[in-house]
Amino acid sequence: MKILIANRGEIAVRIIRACRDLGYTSVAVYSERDREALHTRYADEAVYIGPTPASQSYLNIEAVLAAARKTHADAIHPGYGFLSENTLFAEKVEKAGIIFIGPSPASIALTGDKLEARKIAAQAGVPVLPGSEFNLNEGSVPKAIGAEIGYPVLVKAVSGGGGRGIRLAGNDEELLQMVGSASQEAKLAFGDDKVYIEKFVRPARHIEVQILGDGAGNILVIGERECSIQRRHQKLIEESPAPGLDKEVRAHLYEAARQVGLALQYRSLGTVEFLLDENQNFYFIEVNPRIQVEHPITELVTGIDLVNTQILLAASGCLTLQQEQIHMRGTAIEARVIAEDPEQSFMPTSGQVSYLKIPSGSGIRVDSALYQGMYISTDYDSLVAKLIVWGEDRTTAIRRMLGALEDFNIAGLTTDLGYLRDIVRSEDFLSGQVDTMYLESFQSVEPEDAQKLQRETALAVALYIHNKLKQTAALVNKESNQWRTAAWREQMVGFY
Amino acid sequence: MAHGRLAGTDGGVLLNMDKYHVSINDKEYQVEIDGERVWIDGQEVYAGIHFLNDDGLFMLERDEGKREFHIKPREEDVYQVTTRGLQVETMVQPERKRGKKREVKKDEGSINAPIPGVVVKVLVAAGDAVENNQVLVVLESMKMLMEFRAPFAGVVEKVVVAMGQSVEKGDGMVVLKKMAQVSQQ
Repeated sequence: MKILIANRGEIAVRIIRACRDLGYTSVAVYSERDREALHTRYADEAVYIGPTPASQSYLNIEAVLAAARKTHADAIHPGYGFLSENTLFAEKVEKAGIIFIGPSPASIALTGDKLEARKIAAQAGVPVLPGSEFNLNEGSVPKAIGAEIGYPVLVKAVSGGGGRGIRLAGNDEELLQMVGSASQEAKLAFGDDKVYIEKFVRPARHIEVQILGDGAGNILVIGERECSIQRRHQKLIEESPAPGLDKEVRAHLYEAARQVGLALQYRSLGTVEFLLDENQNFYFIEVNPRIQVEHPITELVTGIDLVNTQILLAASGCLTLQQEQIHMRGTAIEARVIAEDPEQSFMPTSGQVSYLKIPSGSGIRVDSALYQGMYISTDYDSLVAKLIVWGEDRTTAIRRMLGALEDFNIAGLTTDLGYLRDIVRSEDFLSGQVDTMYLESFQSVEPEDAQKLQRETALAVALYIHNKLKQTAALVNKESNQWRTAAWREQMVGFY
Repeated sequence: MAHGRLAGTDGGVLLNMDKYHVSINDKEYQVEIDGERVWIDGQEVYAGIHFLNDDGLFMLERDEGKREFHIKPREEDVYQVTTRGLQVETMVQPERKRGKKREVKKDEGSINAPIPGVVVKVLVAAGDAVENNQVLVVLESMKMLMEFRAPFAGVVEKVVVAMGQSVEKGDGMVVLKKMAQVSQQ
């Protein structure tokens, strides 16, 4: 079996590792920028698919298909992002006689239309948030919608994903404005400017359930993940299991996720996302029809390798795993290391990794495509590494995460490592009392030992510079001495 | 006096003494080194250095333990320093170089593009009064829309970009004047 990975970065490396586990041959694809990228070196084979812009390489369906044909790949794994939720791509892959490691094209189409997905969930008896079923871009915004649902409301892209094209509106005037800007962003990101409105719940937790289906009516539920630590709808820290989640509520969530999976006749890995309000009521948000960025925390608490399982399922068509075999043990937490500057409103950063120290040790896993000397550009997603830890209990996991975050050093560009540390050691995080708006008002508190560390750093730097200056001076002296000696010898020649 | 041996330094008694001014996060430290002896802000401390490789990795040895550092030059006198739990920009100036100190240009009123992109919206014009946090310009980059907000209340002095214009990293987009500066005039 030969698998082509239609992706880049850490997830491509992750999938290549799964291929190695299974004894399958892996094929990487790469753009101009990624000629030297880690995933191209990790794979057994690598094919160039086009210039740096994603639209001409990783999003270029024909180029990816040509690479699969050229290498005689039996299957394509799309990873997340790029073509992973593209119905046309999945269709073309299957038409070419290649296995698409993911849901059926029909499922991708259904889940890709957020309004359609809401309808399916509601029909399956799963609670959905009050929302508009109108196409807001046809004519002006009916103000009645906002009034009917009650402000505040969220404006969301029908073809949305990854937190793009979502806006908050508190009144009629803002609603009009936000519909405009959300649809503009949606057009840019997804090529579809359709938006819809959903009631905004606050405080709310974002909890998602991992499902795995065989496409023949069997759905397994593989635990849940708490993903409330988000910044502008982008997840930063995820945890499994969700801290303090009521046992009964968890059971209901699992059943709801299973029902959604059944309604979709779901095949492969998928995630059903829910909002949980302060009264423990939950509402369906959407289905992510692909492997998630945060899948490793589920792997660590269940001991199930999701990617291996997903590939084997695609290869054989049948599930070997049974619901009774799935249990969660301990706590796993993931922190996303991104090339963004938290002090400059999370502007993307770039630079060459001049020094890299990756944490290791018991219960510590790092999924990344980093290497010392690599240039991190702003051409693609800003995720550079995922730090995932496991502990027997939540306290151990948090301490382990803090230690590992301190050990994680990436020099040469600004990342969010310090910001992640500040969140993980905040009291609200420790107590598990966080909602989706937590980071909007989060302020880093400088710990007392920060001043001491800064003083030590000043001392270290001064000593370093001092020694370097002395070394240089010594070298110059030595050279000039040699020159003098040579000159003296030359002069001496005349005396003989 | 913290250390009597410094008496007469100005008279040039201690010729081997090297002094460094280190700035981190707006705080300045003074480190003096004389052979094996080291002082920070006038206090003598035990500190030794061990080089771990030729690429900026070294170790600081202190009474209480050891700590690893990595140092990378960024520009003249400016270094990025990475250690367990901290990554900072530091400015290090040897005392004798100090007279030649460059004026750090800090045009805090200029809103610059942090990455290349295309201006999709210009929401202010020269002469407009703006509130703190008011959106000034919207930039599209990497399929994202980024809003640039006023870092303080003030008046728009100049709008450098126009809608549809491409900008490079570091290009100025809008120049603001602080309220206080305005009222003074």
